[in-house]
Parts: sequence; C-alpha cells; structure tokens
Amino acid sequence: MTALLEVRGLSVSYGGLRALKDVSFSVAPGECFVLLGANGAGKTSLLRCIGGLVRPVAGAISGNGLSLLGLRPSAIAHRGIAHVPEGRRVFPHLSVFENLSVSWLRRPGGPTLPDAVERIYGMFPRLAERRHQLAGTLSGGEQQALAIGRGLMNSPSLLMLDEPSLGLAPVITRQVFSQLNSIRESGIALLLVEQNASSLDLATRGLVLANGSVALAGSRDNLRDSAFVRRAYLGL
Amino acid sequence: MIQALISGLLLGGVYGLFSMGFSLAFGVMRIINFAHGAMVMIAMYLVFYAYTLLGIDPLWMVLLAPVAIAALGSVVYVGVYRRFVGRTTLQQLLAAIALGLVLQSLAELAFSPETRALRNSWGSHYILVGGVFLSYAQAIAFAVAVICVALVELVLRFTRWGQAIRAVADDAEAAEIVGQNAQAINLGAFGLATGLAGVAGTVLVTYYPFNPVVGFSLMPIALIATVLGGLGSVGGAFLGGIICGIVQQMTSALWAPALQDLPLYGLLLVFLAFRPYGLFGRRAAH
Repeated sequence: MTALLEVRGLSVSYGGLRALKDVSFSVAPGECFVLLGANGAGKTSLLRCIGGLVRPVAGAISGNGLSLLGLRPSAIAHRGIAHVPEGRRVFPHLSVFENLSVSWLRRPGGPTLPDAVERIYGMFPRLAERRHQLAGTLSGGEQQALAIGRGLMNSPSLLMLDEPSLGLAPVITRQVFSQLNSIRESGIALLLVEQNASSLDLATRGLVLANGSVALAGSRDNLRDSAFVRRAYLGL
Repeated sequence: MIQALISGLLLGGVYGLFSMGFSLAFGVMRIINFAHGAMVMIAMYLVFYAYTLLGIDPLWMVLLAPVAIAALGSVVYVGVYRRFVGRTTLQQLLAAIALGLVLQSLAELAFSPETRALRNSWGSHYILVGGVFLSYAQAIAFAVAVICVALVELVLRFTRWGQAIRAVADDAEAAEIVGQNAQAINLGAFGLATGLAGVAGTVLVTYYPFNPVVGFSLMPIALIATVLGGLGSVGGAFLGGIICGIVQQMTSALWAPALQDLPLYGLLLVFLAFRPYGLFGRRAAH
C-alpha cells in the first residue's frame, strides 16, 4: 500500500542553523502518527516543511506517491493534506462561518459549501452557536475547534495538527483529543505534534524528535515502554 | 455655510473614492502605494484623450478606465510590489515613491507639464437645489463614489473572493494553509485597489483641472483619510475622505481659502497621537 505521507531524509536549516537532520517516517491511511519532542526539537519545522511553508535543504516528501516538494502551501492543501498550525491562526476578523467558508474549495464530487459547513457544525456544536461571531472573540478551545474544522472543510485524507493542546485547560484538551479520535475513526489519518504525552493514547505509531533528529521511533506501546519517553514525557 | 458643507461633502466623496484603493492595498498587503495618485493621474489623461480624440463621454470611461488602470496595477504588482508584500518597509515605501515619480515624469514627457481641463457638454453645469448650488459633475462624481464604496464593501463582505481577501489581510500564511493562493489573491486585490484609482481619475477629470503632478498633490489627502478611517478599512477611508472634504471647505469658507489644509494636517497629528487606529479602525490593525 502506498503511504499517505512519506518523508525521506529530510533536513531543514534556518540561516545555517540546522533545525532538522535526516528525518524519515511515513504515515499510513487511517492511522494516528504522533511526533513527540521538547520545545525546539524541530516538530513545528517538520510540519511546516511538509505543509510547504519551509523549504528543506535535503530530502523528499511525497503524498500518495507524488512529490510535494516545491508546491505552494495552498496546492498541498488541495492535495488532501490539511495543516492545523501552531497557535490555531484562525482569521480573527472573519466570522466563524467565514473562517470555514474561506477554507472550502469547489471540487467535482466534493461536498457543497453548506454541506461541508453543516458537517463541521455537527462535530462542534459550539461553532454552530457562534457561527456569526468574529473568530477573534472565541475562547481558546473554540478557536482550536474552528482551526480543526477549517482543516476538515476539504475532506482531507491527512490532518496535521501542531500542538492542539497548547494553552488549553486539561479538560478542554481531553475534549479536543476525543474529537481527534472520532476524526481518526471516520478514516482521516492524523499527524499529531505534541508535547503532551497523553496524545499517545490516540497514537498507532510515532517518533520522538530530539535536536532535530529522530531519537526513537516505533509503535505506541514501544514508545510508551521506552525509558526515555517515560522519563521525559510521562513523568514516571 | 450650508453651501460649504454640501460642497465639502461632494468633494469629500471623491477624496474618499481616491483613498479607498490606497487603504485597500495597505490593509491587505501592508503596501503603502505612494504611486496610487500617479495612477489616478494616468486615468485622468486616459479619459481626457478618450474624450478629446475619440469623443467618448467620460461617463462611459467609468467602466473602461478602471480596467486599464487595474491592468497597469497588475503589472506594477508583479514587477515591483510582489517582493514587498506582508510588511511595510522603507524599501517598499521608497520603491513606491520612485514608481510614482517615474509615472509622473513619463506623463510630463508624453502629455507636457501644462495644466488642462476637460470641457465637455455637462462638466460645468450647475443645478440649484434648495438654495444651494450643486455642480452637476461633482454630484455625479459623488454618486459614483457612493456606488463604488457600497459595491466594494458588498464584495468584501459577501463574496467568497472578498472573504479570501479579508483572510489574506488577517493572516496571509494561514490563508495559504487553508488552500487560498495568497499571491493570486493579492494580485486580484491590488487590481481592485488600482481599478478604484481608475474610477477616481475618471470622475475627478470631469471638473478638476489636472497636470502630471496632480496625483502626487492629492496623496496627503489619501493619507489623512486612511488614518482617519482606520488603516486598511475601505469604508472607513471613504468616510475619512468625506471628513477631509468637509473640513477643507468649511475652513475655506469660514476662515481663509489659503488655510484650508491647516486644520486637516492638525487633525492628522491629533489622530496619530491619540487614536492611531482611526475612527472606525480596529485596535489590532497595525
């Protein structure tokens, strides 16, 4: 089976400073792949590179067997790889509805705009209640829901999320993770960047980044049992 | 007094039209298009020659001139501004001033520096309404300005293209992430902004004497209107333009015509000091 996303030997530098070094992994359809790592380990760089926001100095990225290198971020979004960026980045002066509407693309065979929006409202009833409210006035959890909803507007095959739990209260984080679980159960693969190790509950597989390199990779149970993860992330 | 108020309102409407495109380009791309006035000036010559050489009524040019100026704007965007998008820099500002001066010099070369006026069948007509003299041309210009601001606001609010422009204005990178090609949206928005310069030139030329420097000489008004209205807001810039027109005409009537710009610049300083986000602007706009 072709991997949904295949990353091979990826290296990223910012002005000579190496942020990622020779990172390889792949995400299969329907799975939840978790990227763990401390601040500055290169997790965000990795997602931004896959999303087309940062050019790698070496390596290859392909989605469904086709290379994604050199494509604009919008073109990568059109290929079914959605990116929910760090810090949510909702459009503060657009309403909730407009945030969703602007993220929809007319495609033959795709859902209509009203259908796509209603599906998101069904998943996140709070967004339906606040559909006419400016996104900048939403709470952090609501903004995260909107950012995820925006990513789902084009029925992606892979949803990449950059620390969706950042700045959220634990109870809200649990809600977000349970939403993510239902998204995965609906058949959409997840690539989840987290510092929060409870994200491992969602994971099928994952890896740990340290100083821009892969420190550890494996199945959820491998990761959970490793002394490194237990010490660094689970506080055991 | 009433006369000054009304003529200020009419003049202000055109100032507003002049300022809208300038404000739009800033709001979406953070580009200070100092060449905006030069584009208005080129539209004035275009309409002038279309009338004197081809006999095309300026009113028809309301549809044609914006297309031509938007085409010029697109070339300018791709050739010059594209690399400056997203952040106001000194380099961008200098490039814009240089561009405006180049267009102005080319106009001097092509059309000579002399001041002209377009004399058509209705440009100098006046109508008397309730004891107030209304210039026919100014009334038409005002009506066109109101229609333009309404149309642009409707497009920005209610079309998906308008939503995409506002999304890019909010966060261009996030707009890319959700699948909008920000470069294409910017090009379209700049085309719209310069198209508005084309409309402004078309209505202005029907009653305003012009020469190659007229565009630059009007730029301070665009700056003041844009600051008053809240940087980047299109409707705000229009209302800011109206305030400019009224303040100018009232000063001229009640004080002295030579001082008509003094309270205007005073107002600019007061706003920049105490309310830099303008009357209708959002605090978040930078």
